[in-house]
Amino acid sequence: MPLRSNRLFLAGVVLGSLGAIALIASVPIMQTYEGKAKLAQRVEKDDAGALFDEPYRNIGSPQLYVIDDPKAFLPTPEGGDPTIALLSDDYLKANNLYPTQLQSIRTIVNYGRIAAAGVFIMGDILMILALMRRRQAGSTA
Amino acid sequence: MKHRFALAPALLTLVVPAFAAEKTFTIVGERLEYRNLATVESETEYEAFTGKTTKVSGTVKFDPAKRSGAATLLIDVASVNTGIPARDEHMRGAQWMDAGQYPNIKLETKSVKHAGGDNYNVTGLLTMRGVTREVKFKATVRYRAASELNKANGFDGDVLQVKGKFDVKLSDYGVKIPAPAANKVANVVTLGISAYAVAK
Repeated sequence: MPLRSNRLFLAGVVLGSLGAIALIASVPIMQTYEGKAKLAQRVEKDDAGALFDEPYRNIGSPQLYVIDDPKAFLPTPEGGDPTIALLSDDYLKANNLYPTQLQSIRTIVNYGRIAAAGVFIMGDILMILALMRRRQAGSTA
Repeated sequence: MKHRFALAPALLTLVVPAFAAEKTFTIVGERLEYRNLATVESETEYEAFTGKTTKVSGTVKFDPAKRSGAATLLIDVASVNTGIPARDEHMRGAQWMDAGQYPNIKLETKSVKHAGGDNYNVTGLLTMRGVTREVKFKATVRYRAASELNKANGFDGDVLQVKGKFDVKLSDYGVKIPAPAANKVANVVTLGISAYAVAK
């Protein structure tokens, strides 16, 4: 009986630690992505745009993107909003890059945090169960 | 006197555009189709995506002198690409856009009022999944009379660039977002159109 409760306790410690590590690690991971994220407008080349002085056309609205390749960003045109970078959809397509949004990463990290919290709680429950068994075994002995 | 007559053709060319009648422009297709773009934007707390297609067709009536006109535009539903094939497949399905039964989204203008420069206030009828509802939005229409520059850019005749964007409530058009997708697809999406039209 003590051997079983020891194993249960050990499993609880392992699960609880893993859950806690994952929860703590999620903070710098998210901070890293938030630091990399850039507010950008996805655009594609409009080869007829010369007629109307518009070399690019917008795809959707500006979003926070996490793109590591600096070549994916186009220079801000004269008079353009310097706070919104231009993200070349043509470059992304040519290089098979998916325009990852910070919002999507946040969602994945949040799901990960929920799972980690679940693992952490499960570990705690196992440890409590092991301690209860030990007590029971102690009182019957 | 001779000089006055010599000026007449020049004056005529200045006056004619002012009285130019309404022209019917056709949205470019085939080899120039890639220049059109229709987008649908969805943003929820969890996910944002933009679907796009170049398959836009229709006609625009426009009078460059009076700055008035009307348009009927069609967007091909089945060709909308959101970047994830499985999502595109779902969107085409009967529960969502039902592309099999309703292959096009139709936008027909009811009134177009000039709002200065290239800007217009538009009231139109949007038909989606067999349901027609009124939409109001701001559009820009830019006109270029036939020129060598138009030709050099592949347009044979007068050119119009038409742009507009407006919100659409999917539930108004009979789309019932299933519970598992409720956090991923917004009930209110933004429909955008950017298209070129030519009149010979």
